[in-house]
Amino acid sequence: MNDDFLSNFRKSPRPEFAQSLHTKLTQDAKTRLFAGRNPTSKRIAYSLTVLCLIFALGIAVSPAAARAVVERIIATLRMRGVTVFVTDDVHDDAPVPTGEEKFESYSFIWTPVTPRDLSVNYPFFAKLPTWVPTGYVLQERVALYYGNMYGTPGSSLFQWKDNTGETIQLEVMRGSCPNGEFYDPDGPLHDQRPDCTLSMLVIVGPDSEMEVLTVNGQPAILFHGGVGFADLSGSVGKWNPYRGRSAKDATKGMWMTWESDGRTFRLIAESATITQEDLLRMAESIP
Amino acid sequence: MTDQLRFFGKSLVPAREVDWEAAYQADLPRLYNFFRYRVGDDLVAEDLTAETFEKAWRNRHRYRYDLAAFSTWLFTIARHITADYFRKPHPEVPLDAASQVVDDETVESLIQQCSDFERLSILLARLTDRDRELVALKYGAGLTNRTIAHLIGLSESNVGTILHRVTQYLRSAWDEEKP
Repeated sequence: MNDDFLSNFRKSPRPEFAQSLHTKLTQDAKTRLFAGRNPTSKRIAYSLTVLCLIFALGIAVSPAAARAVVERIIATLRMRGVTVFVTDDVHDDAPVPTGEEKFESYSFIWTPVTPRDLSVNYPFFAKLPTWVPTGYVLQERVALYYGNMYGTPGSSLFQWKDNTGETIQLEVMRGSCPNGEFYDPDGPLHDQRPDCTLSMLVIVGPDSEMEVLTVNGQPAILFHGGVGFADLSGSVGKWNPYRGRSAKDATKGMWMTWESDGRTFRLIAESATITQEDLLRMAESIP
Repeated sequence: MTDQLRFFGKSLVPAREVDWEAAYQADLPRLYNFFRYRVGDDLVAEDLTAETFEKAWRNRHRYRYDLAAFSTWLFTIARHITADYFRKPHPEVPLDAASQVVDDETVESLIQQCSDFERLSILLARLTDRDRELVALKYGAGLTNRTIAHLIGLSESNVGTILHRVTQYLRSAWDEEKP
């Protein structure tokens, strides 16, 4: 019995099983993805709200997912670590915003730690601003995100709250691609560049308000509206799936992202009282 | 300003898609065999394979391309589904039936009646959960040591070492327990 012998017990799935599952998935795709289109006006309305929402939910949407959601991408904005697809169209199965929505993903998991734990054990991710808007208090629960339960962390997430429950969240991720774009055009399908550690891709509607700013001299992109937050109420000592919620009002709030010092930062604020200047000041106070 | 202009100066770059058809064709047998080696039952493996694809399909918008290759994501879901499967209670042989089995037939004769895969499943069931998962990923799904290492968070050399030890054990046990 050699090692290959262990592989000899593989067998092909039953054709009936393979076919029936395929039929089930493709029928689902046809009915949900490619059913009749919405009227143009409705689609345009969706485009802004839905795609802003997707962006703001904090989900890094892949080009693959982008293509699954949108039919036409009319522009692409890129910086290291962030690619923004601008679209004027969207498939019908894109999530329709209905006020606050919750979502869950198993593509990465997290465990809660304290800011002190993070500083001691994962100093790379312990990058806190020295200035925050008045009344906001750093919460004792910080999320440490992993791609899988045995791996090394990929990002951390801090949050501040004021006495009304308004929230600011800061995600600190490993930097992205030191040597160029995230996708190797000549590489095998689905392979990212080997030297990339993280990239974030987002989709927005054509009318989304985007601004290109600088944070301490580094380029940054700021978006208005449609923010979403990670839910940090998971269990202590357990691996929790990524859970989040979209804002109650998709037109409120803002978020910005930039790269600095080998890290990608994302700062999100829902509060109506926080200004763009506040967000920028907070970002620039990160040493 | 130069940096800002650079953002907008880029022309449209076609996005690369997850080709679901290709992914299905490529990953269905790998997932199915991963589950076969993991649970030792073809029908259960079919159920778990279907559950994995359906879950992946439902959550396709949440797939983070930036964190993992698609197949890695799929196997991450598969591992969660496996964990759920083992957490749930499963029908067991009634005590009476079990005692009758022991009375009527020895374990050795039972093994002799099994197919080779059933024999292998009996041996795999003696492994630790982690070792059985490694075998399922390597020999069931046919993943490389590097991919397995990425998937479960061990170093590549560690994966190779563990698999070498496990296969030596299986080889030895297989030879010793020939029907």
